Amino acid sequence: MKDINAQALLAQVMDWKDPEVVGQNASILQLLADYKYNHYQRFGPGKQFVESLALWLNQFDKADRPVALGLVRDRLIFISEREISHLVKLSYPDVIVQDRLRLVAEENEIAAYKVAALARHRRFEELRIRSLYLGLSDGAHTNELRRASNGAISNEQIWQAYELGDAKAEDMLSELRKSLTNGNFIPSSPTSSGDKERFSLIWLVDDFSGSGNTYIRYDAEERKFKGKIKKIYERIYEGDLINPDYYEVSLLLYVATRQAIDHIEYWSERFTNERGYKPLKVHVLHPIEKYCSLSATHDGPIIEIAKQDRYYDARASDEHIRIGGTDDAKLGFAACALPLILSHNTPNNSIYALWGPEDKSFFGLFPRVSRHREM
Amino acid sequence: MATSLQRNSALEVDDLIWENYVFRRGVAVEDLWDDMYADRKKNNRPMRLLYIAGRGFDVRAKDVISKYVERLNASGCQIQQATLLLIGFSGYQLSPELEDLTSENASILEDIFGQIGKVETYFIDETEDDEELNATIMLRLGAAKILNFLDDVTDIVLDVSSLPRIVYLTILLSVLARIVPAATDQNQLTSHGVTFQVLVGEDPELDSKIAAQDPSNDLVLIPGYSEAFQSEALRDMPMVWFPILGENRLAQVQKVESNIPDWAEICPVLPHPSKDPRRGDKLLTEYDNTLFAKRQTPLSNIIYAHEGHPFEVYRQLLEAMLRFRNTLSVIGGSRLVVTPLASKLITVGSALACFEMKMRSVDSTSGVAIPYAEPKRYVVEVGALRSSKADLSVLVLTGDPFQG
Repeated sequence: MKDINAQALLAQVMDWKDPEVVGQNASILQLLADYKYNHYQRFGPGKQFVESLALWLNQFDKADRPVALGLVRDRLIFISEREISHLVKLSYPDVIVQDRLRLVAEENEIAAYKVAALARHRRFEELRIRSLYLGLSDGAHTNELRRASNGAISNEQIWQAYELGDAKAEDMLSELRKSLTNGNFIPSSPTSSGDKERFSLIWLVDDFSGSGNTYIRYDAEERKFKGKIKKIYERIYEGDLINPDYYEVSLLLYVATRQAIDHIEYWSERFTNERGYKPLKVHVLHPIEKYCSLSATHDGPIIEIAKQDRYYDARASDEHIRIGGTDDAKLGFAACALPLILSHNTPNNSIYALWGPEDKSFFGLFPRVSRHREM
Repeated sequence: MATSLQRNSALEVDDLIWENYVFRRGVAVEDLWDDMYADRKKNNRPMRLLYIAGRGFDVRAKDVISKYVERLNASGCQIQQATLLLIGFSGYQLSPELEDLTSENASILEDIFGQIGKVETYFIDETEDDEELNATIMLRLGAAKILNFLDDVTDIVLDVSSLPRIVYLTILLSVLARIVPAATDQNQLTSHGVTFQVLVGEDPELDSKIAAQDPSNDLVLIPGYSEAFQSEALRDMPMVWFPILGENRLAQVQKVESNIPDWAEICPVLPHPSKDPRRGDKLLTEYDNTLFAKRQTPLSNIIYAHEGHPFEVYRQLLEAMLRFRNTLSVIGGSRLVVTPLASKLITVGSALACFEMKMRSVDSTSGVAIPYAEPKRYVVEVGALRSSKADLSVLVLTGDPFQG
């Protein structure tokens, strides 16, 4: 639909009579649409933001539409693919390299400020080779991360998933031995100890965490820990990819809510303490602080409409939502109440009114595609 | 050809002057000083210190200097000589309350620094024979005078907390030009043996309450970064303007924009990531009319830079400048114009990019300029100033971290 028609549609839905009001609202929304919102990857071919907004608003009672529009205009956080790419790009020099410098400083009792000496230290290079990077979901942008490292991460050090087949793991170890030999870190002639070279630094990479539950959680009924972090630590001790006597595990998230950061730090510490594992280090490039979430105190009218049954589809209340401790998803998974959209998919930690799938009786402004099979 | 240009750019970016950097904030700043000065003491290397700060109304300089002097004293490092150079300015229109606060701050700074050395005050915008000079020439003269204080020092500390942007940019870039040799050898950051630190006390809440009003009619050009903008001989050379956006600077943006040719490329720099995830979007709408609607700047020209990380800003801006320089070299060269209007940390990062770009442009047909529309008047409530809590950051640009 052409911009002018979409704006007319929006004016009709919002009952705007004054051309100045139409102009003010439409120009800002159109600018943000061109900048970010039109690029939402779950929009169908040819679908544009302003017309979608009009259709979405049309689902609300007339009296509720200004509140719904206010949510979009004043509170919506949209993280575009370009913004994520920028976070990926700064990960290597500003997080991964800095962490490795710190490790070399600690191991060798060199002051952390002596960056030139640390960067030239042999151990700095050895740890580069002994680093393994694993994606925790298809949003991990592992290819981009490898490219952003300017050759410091090889193809055989990075994998888009955290569950590795034996053949892939053997390839990675073989390349590790080759790189260590080429760098004169181990003798070139194979020895029994040379065959046991393993990775030491594990970087787990993902684009977003809203609640932290999928990474680590404690199932009180079954009295056991669950989640990706648990599986990876167990792999360290069960497999032969990582040196269990010397390793560090870091979780690198491009975007995460404060709620998720607190959750992961708390439960991973409990888990690693209980098992006698080395603690997990959490690095978040773009934390979404608590004040970004919608709250009854600051966003009363928005919370009110988000809680209403008529702006919700009960079929969204499934067993996956219940893992977050709530019976429904009106305020999002684990009641995170986020107004957050990621360009490739809206997280279910956002309020349902934003992400409700297109086939539901109330659909979201940025409909979500679920990772789980719908009931 | 595109592939070859991209490859050239990537190769150059690999070899950054500050590829390894020292940047600390909060309590880590004091840890850094403790480590650095403990090593000085252990190696029996006495200090000859020049500390440069603003003689301004901003109380943040007080917190910064008192922390620095406290840690330096605690280290037991031998101080052979220490000078506080207070830079004053008389050209701004301030309320009587702000004038009083400026004098009060100056005496406090003198008292604190008096524990370790002497204090000299230099008014950068006063001339000996009362002749009227434009701001650009005044800055050039001021920079030359300040550089005289650099003789025989081992340490330079520049506290930008209470210095106007044009003044700290001038001092920062002049000091770097003096102490960083042009040669791209491995000792580039240590060959003069001087440790140069930039201290930044930032309080974004206070910054948002300081209103900078009445931008001057004349653009100020930072000394050493003017020719690419002013030279008649270069006026037809392609230009790329990088306005680094911050809130409430519309009048200044408009002033500079009116001097940018219609055909120039514009690449606005937005803060991302930011504590406020909507900040970039809000800045985009704030400057929409001036930078996008009027100039038809493609939204894809937007560059992102980390709000709180000056070395990331440096890298992003330098990379973009190198990319444009390589591309535009095909059609005769480039003029790269940077106007920093964001926070002090971002401004310092962008200055580093300009410094390196200028160094890399010596033998090429490109130049770097920093035009700025300096406000003539600052307005802020004294109460807001007094209750400010600054978050301290430090960048160590040369010297000790780069030895060995």
